[in-house]
Amino acid sequence: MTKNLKPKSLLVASAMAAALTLSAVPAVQAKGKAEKCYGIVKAGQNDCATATTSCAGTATKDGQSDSWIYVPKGTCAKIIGSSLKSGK
Amino acid sequence: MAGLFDIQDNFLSAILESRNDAIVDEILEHDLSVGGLSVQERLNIYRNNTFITLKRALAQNFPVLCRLVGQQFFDHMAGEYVQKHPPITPLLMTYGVKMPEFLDDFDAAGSLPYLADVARLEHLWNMSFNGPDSEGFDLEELNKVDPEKFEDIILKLLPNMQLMSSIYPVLDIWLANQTEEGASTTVNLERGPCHLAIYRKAQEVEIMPLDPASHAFFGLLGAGKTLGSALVQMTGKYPAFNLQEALQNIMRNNLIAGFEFAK
Repeated sequence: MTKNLKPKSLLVASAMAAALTLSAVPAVQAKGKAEKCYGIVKAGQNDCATATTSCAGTATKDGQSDSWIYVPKGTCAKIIGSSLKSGK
Repeated sequence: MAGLFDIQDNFLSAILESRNDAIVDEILEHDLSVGGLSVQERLNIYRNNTFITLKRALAQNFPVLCRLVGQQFFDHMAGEYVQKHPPITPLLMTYGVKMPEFLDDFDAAGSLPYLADVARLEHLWNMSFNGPDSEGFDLEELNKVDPEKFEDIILKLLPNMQLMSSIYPVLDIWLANQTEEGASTTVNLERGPCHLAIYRKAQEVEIMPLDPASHAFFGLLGAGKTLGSALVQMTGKYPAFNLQEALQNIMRNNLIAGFEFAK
């Protein structure tokens, strides 16, 4: 490394150099390293799926108002802890 | 006779606001009322189709939201969303960009303040899934750079990367609602805030939890800051920030798409 670099340049240069050295693992090996990530494959299906429902409206009555319930009844019951709710 | 814009506007009101009267006369005037069904009936079918299709698209774009509030609640919520924010492009795969703001003002869901951020995460997931592919990047390219120039480098992270922060543990909520079994997991809101990077390398979207400093650093890189200026801003705000570790994390996870030099 050059001697007359400014402190910031030196910091960036040494951080980059060290990171590059330490990250230089074969690509195949590197692939398995993403242990902290959560990958979920979701089918990218909705554009064609919705296209096939175009005749649903003739058969199904869209009971918008009949089905209305004022209280959410899903898995939100499993989300607990109320102290943060006042933040709204 | 009304102009095209007025006709379209009236048709939109007829469908979205259940106001058939807004367009019936126009249709009759053009004598389009052929076939066995009345104009009213046909408009109702059109409306039904519109809402069913769009609500189904929303349910597919926001599966966790749907699980959280339940199918019935979601169905009504989605109906109101469609009325307020009809799609503005024919592409439904990312329909729902306004869902977070919509939920902030949706009184019926007021007891679930984290919903908006869950919706934000699901939308960003979708944006990443449907976002541009990364060309792939070889770290060797960076090894060729003169170390003196590292501070003037602008690192480009994956082009489909999205960042978000929430005061709620939305990743935990999201993970607990990926499968039927997971839905029995209890999530405590007091686990507190989270900072996330959402990105896609090949076919699979990944969500990486970040510490606040890394999140800020990713944001600075995303805004096109050079490493030098990003470092200055980071050390001012996060004295414990370690550039080398942050860069290593980025390199090890193959999050770099390319780089350029500041002009």
